[in-house]
Parts: sequence; structure tokens; C-alpha cells
Amino acid sequence: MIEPLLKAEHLFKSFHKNDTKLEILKDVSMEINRNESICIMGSSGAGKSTLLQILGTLDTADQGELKFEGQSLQNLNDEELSLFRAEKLGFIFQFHHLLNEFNVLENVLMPFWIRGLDPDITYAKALLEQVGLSNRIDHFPTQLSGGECQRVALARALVKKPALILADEPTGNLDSQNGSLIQQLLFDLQKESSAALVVVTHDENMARRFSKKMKLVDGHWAR
Amino acid sequence: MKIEWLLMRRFFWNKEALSTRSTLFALLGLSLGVAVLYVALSVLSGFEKTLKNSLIDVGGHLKLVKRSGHQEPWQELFAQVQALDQKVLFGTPFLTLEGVTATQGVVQGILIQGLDEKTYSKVLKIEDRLVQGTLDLTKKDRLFGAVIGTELASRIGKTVGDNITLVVPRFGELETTGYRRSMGQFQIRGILDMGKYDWNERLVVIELSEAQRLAEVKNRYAGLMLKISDADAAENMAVELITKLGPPHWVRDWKSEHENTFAAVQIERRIIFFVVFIIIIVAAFSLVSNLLLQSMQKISELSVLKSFGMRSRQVIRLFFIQGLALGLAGVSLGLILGWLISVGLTFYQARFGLIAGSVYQISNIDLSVRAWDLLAIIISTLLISVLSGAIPALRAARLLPSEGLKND
Repeated sequence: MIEPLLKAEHLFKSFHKNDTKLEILKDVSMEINRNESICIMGSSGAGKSTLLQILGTLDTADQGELKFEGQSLQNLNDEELSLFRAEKLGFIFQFHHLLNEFNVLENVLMPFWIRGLDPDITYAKALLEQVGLSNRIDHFPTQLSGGECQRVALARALVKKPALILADEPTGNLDSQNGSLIQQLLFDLQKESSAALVVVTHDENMARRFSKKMKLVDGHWAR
Repeated sequence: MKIEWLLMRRFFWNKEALSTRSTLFALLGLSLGVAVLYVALSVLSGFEKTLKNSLIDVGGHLKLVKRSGHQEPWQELFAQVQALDQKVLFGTPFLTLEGVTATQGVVQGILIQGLDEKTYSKVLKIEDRLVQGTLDLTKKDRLFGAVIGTELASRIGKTVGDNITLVVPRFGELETTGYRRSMGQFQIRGILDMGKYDWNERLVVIELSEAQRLAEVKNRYAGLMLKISDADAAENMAVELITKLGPPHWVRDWKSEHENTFAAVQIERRIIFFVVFIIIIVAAFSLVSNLLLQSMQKISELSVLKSFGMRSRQVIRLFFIQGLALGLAGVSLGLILGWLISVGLTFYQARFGLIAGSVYQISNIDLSVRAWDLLAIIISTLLISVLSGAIPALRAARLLPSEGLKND
């Protein structure tokens, strides 16, 4: 039997606000397989982003287990977790979160630099060409439009050829034209890299393109 | 480490980040602390150095004396001393007398130093201290030469070319309770700034033979002034020579006459270092708050970097490096500022005489900072600057990436 790429089992997550316990995730389980594209939908506050962050080890669950290729991620230390994120995951956020102090190419190469690796400049430039920004590599994020920044963020997420791409409303801050472009690029690049893709979105049109659609309602999967 | 330096440079040392007042004020506070420490230690070291130079230049490294004085040729005594210790390089005989000089009704107590004109320059460095005239002590136009201190010249209103009468009291031969006087007239050939106020005020240098004539001691001399290979070893050498020569000989090193002063300077140096260092510690608090602010401003960037695999210890290193960089900038600026203040003080004291010589023994401090003091300032400031990065570093490192991403 083939192990799923990422398996989340019985995840619980709550926050405390003014002495009130807000339960965000209540016994959420899911499996993500290789090459699979999953869309997570749900209303605001349903726990979509929290789930995505837990799947990406950017946050921790109160309870439950997370396994990557059958290996538990629960007891990994900071060093091991950061290595896991660096080697296996690629993140795209609703806001591009590019580093304004670095130019386009440097932003894309940052995942290599962070780990002290020799950067694959050829691949980085190829990705930037694919997202239509090969002529902007020396530009800084402040010189680009929101759509262009998100395209750079897309290239940055994919530059290390991750096994799993996690995107939190990647088109949420963009107009429809740029949103469609990002969508197209995201699917094209995912197909090329054979990575699994998990996207949190409100966009019904976008959701139709995924192989699996899941909906969170009040911290549970909708039945 | 390379990426941390790169992130530090781009995040915190760009025009925008540097234009924030908190960074500038933090740097200014640190620089001022370093500058004050530099100046305070320069003054103390300068005082010590000036006094040391003065004592050695005018009194030699060691003085070998005998209560009844020496009668044997001084060369024999010197050969004996040199045979005991090879580190003794040169020697010159001397005779010190208490006396007075009187001019236009003003009587001034003086200390007459009789020196051997042929050999004193090998042991003493008074030629560097000549303010006016020459060091010629020989007989010219029926008068022997004398060199006097600046303060004495000013008090008796005499200058180079004028005559000065020196009077030495002698025990009466017939009446043992009374004194008679022995006197001589000399021509002032030079005026010296001997560094030490009481010397400038009292010392008169004349030829040894003339001092012997005034004291009526024939060929007797008080002892030898000695030059040795290492001025700082004088104290130990004095003990060694006393042990070897035995009584009635006595050896005093340049430091012993002002032992308390030097000991006080050492204590003051430590106290001042710690007291002034408090300013740097206070400045470090503003560094901490500045670094905390910077860590908050960059929290989303750090979260994104963590999502791409940045380790917590890299985040910690980033803030320690930033603390170090601020420390380096603060130390550099502070040292430049301190040096400028020192130069200003030197200029100001040369022009307006800041120090009362009658109170502090010396009237002019040659401001200088010791290498060890400089090292202590640099290391302690850098250490405290790096440590000031600890709180922001740990705070930023502990933060989960999701927390930083929520901010947007």
C-alpha cells in the first residue's frame, strides 16, 4: 500500500480570546497524495488557513498527528522541522510576502540561501521566465504590481521543487485578470513539477479545477 | 553565517531603517558612553604617563644613595652596581641641596640639583623639556650656568641671561645651633618645564662641582641616578640592588616617591571604568528596545523566511549580529568622538591651563589611552551590544511562523 504524501489525523486546534476558548479545528483528518490537487473551501473563520498552516508545520495542533511519507512530524525539533519545510514544502500566501530589500531574482533564490545551498540560478531564471518576469529580475518588489509580486512568490515557492505546494488564497488579493493568470501558472507549474497542491480559496471557479474539493464548516469537514 | 550578514545589512542598514530615530538615538547613546569612557581613561592614563615621564626624565629610573654620601669616584661605584646587574645601562652622580634664592625682597625656597654635565644626558632627558635657552651649565664670563623651572622663573621674574643667587644654609662651626650661609651667583641659561609642578616651582639645576662647592662637601656626592633597560622593572631592580649592596646603601625607584599617587590612579581607573560603563549599559537598554522594535517590524519577513526553512538559531544569530553591528558602529563613532574631545581638551589646556598644578602635581596632562584600556572599552561595549540582541533574538526565534503571517 502506498503511503500518502501527507496524512493529518484527528487534528484539534483552539485559540483563547478574552477567556473564551475558540475551537477552530475539531477532529480534522485528511490525506494528500502525490500529484494530487486539493482545494479547501469554507467560509471565513472556518479554520481553512489554520489547517493549512498546521499542514505546513507553521503552526502546531493541540491534538492529532501529522505524518509525511509515513514519518511522524510530531516530535521533530526546530532544526528538523526547518529542514523539512525547506526540502519538501513550498508556500504561497494571500499576500506575496516578498522581501522588499531584495530584488526579484534574490527573492526567488532566498530558499537556497537560507539553507546555505548553491542556488540553482538557471532554474530560478527559467521559472521567472515562465511567470513572465524574466525582464524584471533586477527590480525590487516595490517596483512591481501586486500580480507581478504574486508571480514572483509563485516562482519562489517552486524553485526548490517541493513535493507539496501549500497556497493560502493565492488570488485573494488580486483582480480577476491577475487571479486567472496566477491560477493558470499554479496549475501549469504543479503539473510540471509533479508536486501535490493544496489550496485554500473562496473562489468557486478556481475550485472546479482541483481533483479533490473539501469544505470546512465550523472546524469540521462538511458531509 | 553569510545569509545572516546579508539579511542584517539589507534589513537594518538601509536608508529607511537608519532614518528611524530610535536607531540613531541608540547609536548616539552608545557612542557617547564610549566617548566619555575613552576621555576619562585617557585623562587618567595621561596623568599617569605624564607623571611617570616627568619622574624618569628629571630623576632617572633609580637613585642609589647613601646617608653620608659617597666619596669614592662615582665611576667605581657605577662599575660596582653594573657588575651586580647588567640591566643597569648608565649612571650619573648627583647632589641635592635645599636652599633659597632671594630677589627684590622675595625669598623663595629651592631645591638645587647638582649634575655631572658630561654624563647626565645619558640618564636624564631634560633636554626635551627645555622651554627656553640652553642646558649649558659651564662657566662663562666668570659665572656658572643654571637651569631653572618655569614656575620659579615666573615667580622671581627672571629669564634666560639674568643672574640668580643661590644660598645654601650651613651649620656654623663655632655655634652648633646657628647657621651660616654659603652662596653663589649663577647665570640662568635655560628654563625647563619639568612636568611636575613642585619641580617647576623649586628646582634649580647646576654643575655638580658647583653644588659640591656650595655644600662644602669637596668631592662627596649624594649618589647615582641610574638608567635601566626597562622602566617598569625599576621597582624589582631596586629591591634586588638593595639586597645585594646592603646598608648603608639605599635604592629608590622612580615610582616609590609617588607610590600612593600611582596606586590611587589604578583604583580610580577601575572605579571610573565601572561608573562610566553604566552609561553604556543604559545605552544598551535603548539598543534592546531598538532591536525589539526591529524584530517586530520584520516579524512577517522572518516568518516567511522560516516557512522556507530558516532555522531559529539563524534568527537568533541575525539579532546577535545586528547587536554586534550596532556595537561596532557605536564603538567606532564613540572612539572617534572621544579622540576628538581629547584633542580638543589638549588644545584647550595648552591654551588656557585647565589644571591647577599646585593641586594635582602636574599642570599639563599629555592625554593618551593605553592599549589595554582601549581593548577593554571595545570588548566590553561589543559584548554588551551583542547581549542586547539576546531578548529580541529569543523573542523572534520562539515565534511560530504562523504568528508573524497573521499580522498581515
